[in-house]
Amino acid sequence: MRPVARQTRIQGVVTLRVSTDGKQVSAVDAENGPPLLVKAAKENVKTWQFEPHTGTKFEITFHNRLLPVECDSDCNCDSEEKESVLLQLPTHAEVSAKQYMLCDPAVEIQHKK
Amino acid sequence: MAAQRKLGLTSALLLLSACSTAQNKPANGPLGAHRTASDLPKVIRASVPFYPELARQTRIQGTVTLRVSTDGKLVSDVGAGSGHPILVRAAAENVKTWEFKPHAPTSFELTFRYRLFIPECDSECNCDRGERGEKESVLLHLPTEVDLSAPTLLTCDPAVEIRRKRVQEY
Repeated sequence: MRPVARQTRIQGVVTLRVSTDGKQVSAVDAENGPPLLVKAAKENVKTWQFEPHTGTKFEITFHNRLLPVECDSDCNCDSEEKESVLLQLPTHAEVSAKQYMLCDPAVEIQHKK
Repeated sequence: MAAQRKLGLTSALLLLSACSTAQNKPANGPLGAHRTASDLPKVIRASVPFYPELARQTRIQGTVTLRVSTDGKLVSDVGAGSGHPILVRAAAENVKTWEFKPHAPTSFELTFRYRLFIPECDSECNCDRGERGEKESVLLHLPTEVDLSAPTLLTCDPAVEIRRKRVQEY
């Protein structure tokens, strides 16, 4: 997931319409999704290469999800679930990343007290 | 069978986040603490690993463990711990494409799990590659775990399938 999307807590589903020339991606059109995530998904799809085939079109969905992060009083923050990327190519991708946390130990200690 | 792979990706680059560490961590962490994910180098770029076609055809599956050393940015050495040679080679080749966020050179253990599943075939031997049953997939928990699953190669005989269908109909 893009650092900016993570920091601004943007998540969601991106749908792209991909055209191939029989070997590489020739065009990518965004169907919908948050612009920042659409950009990231497009950039990734453009790197794909295929086994030679007749030029075709298909739809792909990218599911971008932020994982909730918990912090202790020393601001050791972590998510219960591990960050992951799941690929079911060429139509489905799931990216999950830890949410960006701003943690102030002073606040946490006070909170604890 | 060949037609089913018409959209098979031969290689693809996966761009991962080149992000700063998520949390404001205090410098005075407990000494000798259990190694957490944040101590491991962060992968920012990697090629997608695929199930080796030869291994799929010969029905080879299993787990590969590798010892990966980094120079602070790239993989400097890959030592094979265990696994079938074909799978070890595929995993090692993939790991060499990884790039990390700059870090102090380190080494860590990595596991690749290769698993085959049986695809569903209809009476005309149109075998599924994801439309109905389980889908071919790659799950990455970088930099320590990679799980790959692919449909096993079936030798499907339409005569046998039609007969089976008839038997079921009676």
